[in-house]
Formats: sequence, structure tokens, C-alpha cells
Amino acid sequence: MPNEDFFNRIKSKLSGIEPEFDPGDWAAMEAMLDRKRPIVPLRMMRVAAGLALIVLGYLSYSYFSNADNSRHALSYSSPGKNMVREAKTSTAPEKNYPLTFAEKEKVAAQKREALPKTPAAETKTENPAMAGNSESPASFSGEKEGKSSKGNAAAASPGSAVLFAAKKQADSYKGTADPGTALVSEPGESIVLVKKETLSIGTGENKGQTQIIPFEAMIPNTENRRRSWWIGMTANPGLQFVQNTQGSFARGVVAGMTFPGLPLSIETGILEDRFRYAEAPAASLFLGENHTESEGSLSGISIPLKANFHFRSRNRVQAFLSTGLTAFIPVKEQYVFSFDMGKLNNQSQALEALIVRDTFNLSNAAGQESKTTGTLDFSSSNGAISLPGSRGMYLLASAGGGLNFQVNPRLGFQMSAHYSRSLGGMGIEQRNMNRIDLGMAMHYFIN
Amino acid sequence: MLTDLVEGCRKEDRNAQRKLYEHFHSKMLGICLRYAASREEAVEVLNSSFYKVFKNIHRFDDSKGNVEAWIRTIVTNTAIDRYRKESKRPNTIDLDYAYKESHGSIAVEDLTAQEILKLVQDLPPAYRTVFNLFAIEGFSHKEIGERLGISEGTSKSNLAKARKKLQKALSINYEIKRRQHAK
Repeated sequence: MPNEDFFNRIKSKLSGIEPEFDPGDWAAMEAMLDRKRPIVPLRMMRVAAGLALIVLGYLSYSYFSNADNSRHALSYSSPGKNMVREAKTSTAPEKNYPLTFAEKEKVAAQKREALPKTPAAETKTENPAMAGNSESPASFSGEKEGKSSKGNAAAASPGSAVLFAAKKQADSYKGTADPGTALVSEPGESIVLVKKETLSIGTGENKGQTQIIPFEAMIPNTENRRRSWWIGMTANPGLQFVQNTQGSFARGVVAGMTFPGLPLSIETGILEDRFRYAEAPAASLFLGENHTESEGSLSGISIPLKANFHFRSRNRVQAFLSTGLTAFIPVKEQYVFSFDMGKLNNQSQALEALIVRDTFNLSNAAGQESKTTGTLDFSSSNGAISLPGSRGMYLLASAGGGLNFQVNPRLGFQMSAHYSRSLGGMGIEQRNMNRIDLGMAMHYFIN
Repeated sequence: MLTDLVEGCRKEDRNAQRKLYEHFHSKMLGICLRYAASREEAVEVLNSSFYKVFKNIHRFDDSKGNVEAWIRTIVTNTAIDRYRKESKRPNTIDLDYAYKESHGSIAVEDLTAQEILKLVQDLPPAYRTVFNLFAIEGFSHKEIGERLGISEGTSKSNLAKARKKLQKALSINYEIKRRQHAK
């Protein structure tokens, strides 16, 4: 019997089935309607759990990436702390940089009188690098434009130089400077950084090395789904295995789709990536043995494109493999170095150490010469310079796998591990990047 | 009358809800019975469907279609969702049905609607769902694949197996009836 005929016969038979109304059915319906929804829906609780995981990951990153927590080598205890306290109790305001030039001069004069006589005061004017200290304010505009000679690559106004020295008499001091920038001060404004030289983040045998960009693949259990589009959030604390182990963190949103009837899916997204690394100092560094350790940090945006394969599973736990490419666009990069103030001869040397000179022979990731500016904040113990990132992009390949937990047909969480490696830089110097990520992700099916 | 009931349901009038439920109960339960394995299961699907109807009645636009078609769509989708939620590896059963095709056509005519419904309900959920969507609702294999998240080939395969199993069951039933009649 042909299919169509067979089906039509059955259809005509079944179409006549219309069971009588049973009041019990309505009673069940009414009970369902009267059932109150929980105050906090289960879905909301699961979303909250996912957010809690992300926050936990970020806190972990913050803790492990903090130099004081991860690398005790940067901590020094010395009388310098007392000296800082003394400086704070002086008549000088805590934050001098927004002051006008005249105000700075006035405060500097007060500090000069308040401070004990040190060799710094004597050597300051003898140092060629500090020659700019005695120049008029007008000479600093040339520095800002990057027109100064090598010997005078960086200069500070008399007021700010002394202020700086006064505020940074701690023997445990960490100065920061952007890769490839020279430090100049501008009267009446924040200290301005002008890119002068290139700064190499990696040093020694690790020169050129840094770490990679994490991206968390998300492979939900899509079996029997009518549609398979999903969106989600991801948070990845990462571990880097290059020079030492430090925390890193990536977070963002992702979206993807599964091919109906196939164990394959593709996904993309946008993530904010941050990671830090530490390097041994280069032998050529101006500070020599006093320079104990240097630290770099890089943050940017990742845009991944991944293909995933998920193994069939009869339960809610599903294994997966993934591979793909990720474009990483640097947004901000910092170079942090530290030195023992107590071992330096004077404050001028400290200032010189902070000012990036051509003797450092440093280069940043992109090796770009464009002018860039940032603000040096001496109000904190670390100091911080935020600068625009390099213009370019890294392309990374990654592979990994993990487990996906399907909480319900709409919601899932997963844990995974990934290994990633750089394929190269576009408009940016090549770096060898290696990293292992431990990822967490939450996804939600649109339909 | 139906318009008034829909309006009453929009205002969450329990009496209007009851009347609307009662009005479509038989017809919609008939659909649910085909997708379910038992009456109890069918009533669960029916009530889940009407729950959605009552909660989303404000979305129903009278000008774009009649309420029966709208409710029917919800009922069918709810039945499919239930199958998708509960199904486990639908294609692992290997059937080997030797049936006498000649009995199939005779058996359909000789059995009552209730008997045929029972045979449909006895089909594995994956086969039953595809059978209903293809043979009763008139969906193509491509549409079924999209709805159930399976491939077109799987849909075809499930339908063929459903047909085989139904025909075998019909043959057996027919044989039993024939022997009883001979006695």
C-alpha cells in the first residue's frame, strides 16, 4: 500500500477522535493557574549564579595579578616609608600636578627647605639629563612635540622634579613608564609622556615573549533543539607559563549557533582581555643590579571565531573540543619597573631612572613612533601610566576542550581548558604567545 | 461568542477561561492524544498548552487569524517541546519488523479509531512525533527536521520505521480479530 494512502486512512480514522470533556481536566488546569510563581524565578537564580562565577573569577585575577600578592620581590621594607610619611606631613599638597607652574614652584621651594640636604640636590644640575630642570617653561613645549635631542630626551620642570623627588623618597619605589615614551613635565599640567624611543617588553632569552589571549569556547548541548542560536557570558581566569605564573582575566559576551542534526557549532564574540607578565631586567638597563624586576601588562579586545565539536551524550554533561582563530587588538600596554631607592646615589638618579632615555634601548610591542601621552600618578605607591595601545592586531590559534553542563534546555554552564598560541602580528611586532586558560562560561538559548 | 471569551480571558476572568477551555477541550485533547503515550500524558500537554494560551492571550490578534488555529499551533508546539525535552537518543532502537503489507490496508478499515489511536500511542516517542507531524499535520521532512532539531534523513528514517511498526501492529491486530471472528 502506498505511503500516502496508508497515512490518509489513518488520518481519517484519527480525525474523529474528540474525547468528552472531563471536569477533572479543568480542575487540574485551574490548579496550574492558581499555582504562584516563586518570588525569585529559578532562571534568575541561575543567572545570578553565573554572574557570581564571573565576579569570583575577576576577583581571583585582581588578587593574583597584584604585584604585592604575586611577587614579593617587589616589596622592600626600609626607612623610606617614614620619609614618605614625612613628605605627606609637609605643607605640600598631596597632589601637585594639577597645580599651576607658579604654584608648583612655590610648593617646591617649601619642600626644598623642609627636606634634609642630600647629594641629589648637588648632582641634580650636573646631570645632563636634568639640564632641562633649569630651563624656562617655554623649553618644555619643544619636548612635548618630541623635538628634543637624545641627551635631553626627557626633562622635568624644576618644580616638578623636586616635587617628585620629595614625594618619592621611599626606597621601595615602583615607577612606571609606557613603552617607548619619554617623560617630560609641562608647567601647570599633568606630567606628559611623549613617545621617543622604543621599549622592549621581553628581555634576555624571553625577549619578544609575552602571553596569549584567552577565549572561552561555548558548546551547549544542542541535541534535539529546534533552533540553536545562543548568547552567553564568559569569564576566564588564566594561567601564564612563560617567565612566571600570574593571573589573567578575560570577560565578554559570545554568540553562536549549532548546525541542526550535527555535532558542530560555530561561535564568535567580543571579550575584554587583561593579563600581566614579569620579565628579568635587561643587562643594559640603566639601573643595573638595582633594577630587580620589571613588569608588563597588556589589555585589549579579543574577537574570536571558533568551530566546536561536541561529543554525543545521554546525560546533561557533555564533552567538547574546539579550535579557532582569535583577533586581538591591543588597547593599553604598560611597562613597570622597580628599583631600590636606598641603593641609588641620589634622588636625581631615581628621577632619571623613571625618565625613559635612549640608554634603555627599549621598544614597545608595535615599535610605533607616534606621539602619545599619559598621566603619571604619584599619589599611589605604584604610580600608573595609562596610554593608548599599539595600532595593530595579533592573530592567535587555539585549541582546547572541556565539559558542558546543561542545567535546563535553555541554560548551561561549562568548564574548560584551552591552549593558545600566536600565529603572528599584523601591523605589530611578532610575539610568541603561549598560555593555558581555565574557562567558565554561561550560555542561554534564544530559542 | 468566542470573541467575548477571548476578551474575558484577557481580563483573567476565570469563568471565561473555563468556557474557552471547555469549548476547545475535546478537539485539542484529540491532538494531544496522538502525540502522547496515554490520556494522562495528553491532559498534561493540553493543560500546559492552555496555560500558555491564558498567559499569552494578550498577544493574540483577532484580525490576523482565528483563535482555534492559534490554540492548535500552541498545542502542537507544546507537544513537540515535550517530546524534545524528554526524548533520549531516539534512533538507537533497531527494529526488525516482518509484516504482511497486504494486511495493512485491511486492518486500518477494520480497526476502530480508538484501537488505531492506541497503536499510534504505542509507537516510540521519536517515531510517533514524526508520524504525527508528517502524516496528520502535513509538515515536510525539512520542516520536521527544523522543528525537532534533527536532520531530514533522520525524519524520513523515523517515519519509515513508524510506518513499519504501525503496519506490523495493524497486521497482528487484524489477525487476532480474524481468528476471534472465525471461532
